[in-house]
Amino acid sequence: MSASAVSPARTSRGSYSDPRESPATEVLRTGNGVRDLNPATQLSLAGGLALTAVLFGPLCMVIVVTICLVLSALAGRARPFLTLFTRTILILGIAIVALQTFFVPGTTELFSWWLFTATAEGLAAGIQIASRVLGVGASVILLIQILNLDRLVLDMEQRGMSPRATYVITATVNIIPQMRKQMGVIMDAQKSRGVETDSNLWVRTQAFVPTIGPLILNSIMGVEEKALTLESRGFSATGTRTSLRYVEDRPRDKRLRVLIVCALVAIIGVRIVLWIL
Amino acid sequence: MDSVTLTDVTYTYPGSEGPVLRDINLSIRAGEFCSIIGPNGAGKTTLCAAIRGFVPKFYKGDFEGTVRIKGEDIADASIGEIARDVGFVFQNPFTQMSGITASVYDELAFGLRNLGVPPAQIRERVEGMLELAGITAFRDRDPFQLSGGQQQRVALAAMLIMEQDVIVIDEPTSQLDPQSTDDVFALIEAAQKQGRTIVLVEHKMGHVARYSDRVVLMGEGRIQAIGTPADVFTDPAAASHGITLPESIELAQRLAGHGVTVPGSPLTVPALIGALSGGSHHVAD
Ligand SMILES: Nc1ncnc2c1ncn2[C@@H]1O[C@H](COP(=O)(O)OP(=O)(O)OP(=O)(O)O)[C@@H](O)[C@H]1O
Ligand SMILES: [Mg+2]
Repeated sequence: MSASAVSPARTSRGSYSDPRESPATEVLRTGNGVRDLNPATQLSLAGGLALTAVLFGPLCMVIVVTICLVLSALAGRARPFLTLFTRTILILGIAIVALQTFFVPGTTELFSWWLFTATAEGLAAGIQIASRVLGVGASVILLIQILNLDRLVLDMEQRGMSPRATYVITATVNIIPQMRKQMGVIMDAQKSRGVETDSNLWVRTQAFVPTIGPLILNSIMGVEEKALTLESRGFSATGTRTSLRYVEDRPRDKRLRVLIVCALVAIIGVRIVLWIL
Repeated sequence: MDSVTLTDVTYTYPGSEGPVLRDINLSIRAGEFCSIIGPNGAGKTTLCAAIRGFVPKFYKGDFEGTVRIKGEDIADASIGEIARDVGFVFQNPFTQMSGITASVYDELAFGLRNLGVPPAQIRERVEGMLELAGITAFRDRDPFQLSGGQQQRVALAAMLIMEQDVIVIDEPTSQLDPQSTDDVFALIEAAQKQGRTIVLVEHKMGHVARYSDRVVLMGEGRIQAIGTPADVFTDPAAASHGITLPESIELAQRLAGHGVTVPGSPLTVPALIGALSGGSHHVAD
């Protein structure tokens, strides 16, 4: 096998070659520019947007939300973004504005309805808070749309995080589906002993209680064996580990992060200037 | 050469009343297929844990005696170091999954990745093991979405791929159907053929009789009988410890009760039939 086949030099958009990219190593890539950004870039992007929204409130909220929507659309995730945004953050924002408008005391009365009086001060306060919530919320939802957990963990490993730390993260995220599966097993065992688990909600709730004991017991006992299993699979080995997958951190990722930092410095500067004036 | 040697091993779990292992002396040759049988609570799992070093290093408790792997006393080695020589599969497959992999393929690769095996070699060995263990069909499945029996096979494969010299397996077929049981035994036998030493706890006596070089009968923490399958299954201790005899031996004993003497102790039903139809049986008048 020729050397060039082992580490292929790529010439697509900013030529680079990566020694870690052996033919047996798979690059985690979706083909979508936004989703294929390095996780660190995605995090700084979302973090920068959220910070901007917090610093500027209503002034920038519309811009931040629009950017989030556009980026989600570029990632091919406009619809899930909008669904999640309107069902959670938007409702929360409206609730905040409403509550503040009616409950913050003020002198300027806008209108009054039954026992409640809407004040201009309340409305203003509500808009201040809600716009920040909307901006931060949109950034978080954007992150949910574009950030892949496998890539994030892999990237952290590549940046030198200890395997123990990344294990804890991945295992924690996986624990819910695993518990659910284990609960199914316990439920089956109890069904076979005549505990009713199929019928209505109340009966199911009653049946759920006896599963909690075994579930917790199983997880505690499981932890011991799992620790020993990991040990048997060389988890405590000290040498370098092999990755079968690889997350790219391309020059354009680095440039983008520099750009984000510069933009943030500028934004914070503007904010300070505005405060002083 | 002896692969596993236990000398005067007596062990008590922390908090348990009496010793769970009592005066165990056992040597297992390199490349031997050694099965451990006995009733529930006899101490089989504990014996396995002692070979793997979990007893007393992990479970603590009172431990006397020595365990040697390939001649080396493991008292001073860490659990991680022993793992390089001794592979271990627990009774419960659920706890055998690393918990961080999304596919069976990754699960098999996990151990090799930790050891820093080069990527190309990992892929080759994983493909080979998937094939060998007959689990190619669920290579992309989430290990936690598999049935208990499928998980047992994945757990076994994930251990075998580490290629340790000594393999300790605790009831690998408890959730398997007859066909899968045969497959798993074939897999273990293949490992033995590569020269690895097998220590197996198993309740399916037909398979124990067919595959084992030696059988250890445990009862109340002691070795009650040890020897070839024929020796142990015809030992009165086997019956008194509630062992279900392999069909062939059971049949031979019943026939003997009816005056038909079967020469030797055929370990499988075909062997029994062979022995009978070979004309070498004697019918008493
Ligand atoms: N972690 C532990 N702590 C205290 N006692 C234990 C522990 N594990 C097992 N024992 C006790 O040690 C004895 C032997 O248990 P062991 O699990 O070795 O039996 P076994 O032969 O493997 O049984 P089975 O066929 O049910 O798997 C039992 O009486 C058991 O209650
Ligand atoms: Mg056991």
